[in-house]
Amino acid sequence: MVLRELLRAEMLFVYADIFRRKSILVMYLLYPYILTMFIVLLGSSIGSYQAFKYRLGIDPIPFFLTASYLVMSILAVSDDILWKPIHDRMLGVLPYILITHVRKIAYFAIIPIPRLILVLVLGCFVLPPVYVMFYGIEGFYLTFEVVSLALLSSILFITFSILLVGVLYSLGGESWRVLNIIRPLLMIFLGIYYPRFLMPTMMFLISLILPPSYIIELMYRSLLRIATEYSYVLELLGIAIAISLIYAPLSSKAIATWERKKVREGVEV
Amino acid sequence: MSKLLVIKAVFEAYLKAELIRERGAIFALISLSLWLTLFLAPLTFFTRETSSAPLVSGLVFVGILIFVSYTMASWDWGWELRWLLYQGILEYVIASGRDILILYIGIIPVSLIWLASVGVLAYALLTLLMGPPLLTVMNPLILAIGSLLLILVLLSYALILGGTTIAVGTSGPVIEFISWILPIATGGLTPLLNLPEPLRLFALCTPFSYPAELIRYALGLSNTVMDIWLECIVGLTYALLFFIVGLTYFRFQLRKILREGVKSVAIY
Repeated sequence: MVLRELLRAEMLFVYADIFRRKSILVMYLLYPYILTMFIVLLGSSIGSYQAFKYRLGIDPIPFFLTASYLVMSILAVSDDILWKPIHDRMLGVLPYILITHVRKIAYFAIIPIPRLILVLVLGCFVLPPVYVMFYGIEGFYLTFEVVSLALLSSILFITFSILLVGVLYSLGGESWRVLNIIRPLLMIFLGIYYPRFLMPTMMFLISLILPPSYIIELMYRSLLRIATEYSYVLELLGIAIAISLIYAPLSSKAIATWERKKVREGVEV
Repeated sequence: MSKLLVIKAVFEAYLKAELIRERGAIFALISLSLWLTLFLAPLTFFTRETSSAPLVSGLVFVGILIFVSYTMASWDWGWELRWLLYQGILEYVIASGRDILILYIGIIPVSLIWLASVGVLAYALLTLLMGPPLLTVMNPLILAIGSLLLILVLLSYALILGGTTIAVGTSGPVIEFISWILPIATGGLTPLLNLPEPLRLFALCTPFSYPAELIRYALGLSNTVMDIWLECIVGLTYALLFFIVGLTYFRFQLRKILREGVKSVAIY
């Protein structure tokens, strides 16, 4: 009951804002294309389109469109969760949220869902034009696959994001400056623009603790047509889900620690 | 004398707020280096076996600096007026009877300090990822003209953007869109010779392409699509006209808001 109320409130809040400011909606649609254009044009000016195809065996446009769409999906989760306490504090509502009877873990788990639904719906509009152009009718199947995997990777990122909120904000307070370092760092280690199986060993090892990185690897293996055994697919899926589940109790504890700290020390205004 | 004091006060205020307080510059530079790494790493897939690493690195270096300059003009100069309006500071600036543009004289050095820091950071990062950028000044005069044109064009653009944001109530996502698309579409990132024909023509129709072309030419990174001196003359004429238009438009919008009030104070 509480979860349903929370979800309804969050949906009203997010969708009212987005439909009020249509420019955000347009930006959601355009962002994957802008990022793709940015990288492909810059890349073509310093090298060649053909060199990219030769190295990775795929056209750069569908590759970077997929990657940019993934950025949007992952940020829908991580940004919503990581920024929420900062926004709440800035708006002056954090003390009220802290004193509500709602369990904070539930509150944080619900936060990204409305925006995630929106990104997934938008994925169905953004990806098909390019996929169909490059892969024909198979492009629709690919859209379904990418959108489903993006959904899974984003959902699996929720527990880790909450854990990050709990640990970071308990230790150093709600700092947007630190967040601006964490966000790109996560994008790098997730292997979004640079697949993790091509990463240097050290970076690859760090990526292992991030559940979505397994799903993203799976997605790239499919996109780059790398022959992958069925057992390896299941292995990647299993590890991602298992790690995400391991983070669940830890994130609950971390959020409770942050909450207790706020209650004890008060909220900065 | 009092004008100098105001400029100094603005400079100090912005320097402290943007770069010094809470180690803002350090955090921002770390963040930027990570974003750059995120976008630069996949660029290595485009490089040819035969391409010269310093040349490739040099092109990316100039592309980064031009892109950051556009971002600076959009957010630090154009959007700043809206931010001041939102915080209720702009009213005091207007009520003081001073020209709003005096703010820019104080802000621009802070922006240039930031740009220089980004330059050093980008150079170091590119050296690590691709090799040291090739930066040989082949023609100092053209480089000086190109840099001057870049500042003039960006200032004009910021005046138009600033005038529009305070008068119409443009929202953040629109500015974000413009600051991304403008350098992409007008040859800021790519030499015009490498752009597809329709995009090249479009870029030449805007004042933005000329400074970027001149800078790249002066550093020996690419050739221009027209004769270099013709490019200088067209670029300079276009930049001056653009500046006059920008300044006139800004003054017009300012008079309009003084007469009619602002359309929207909210920033989001």
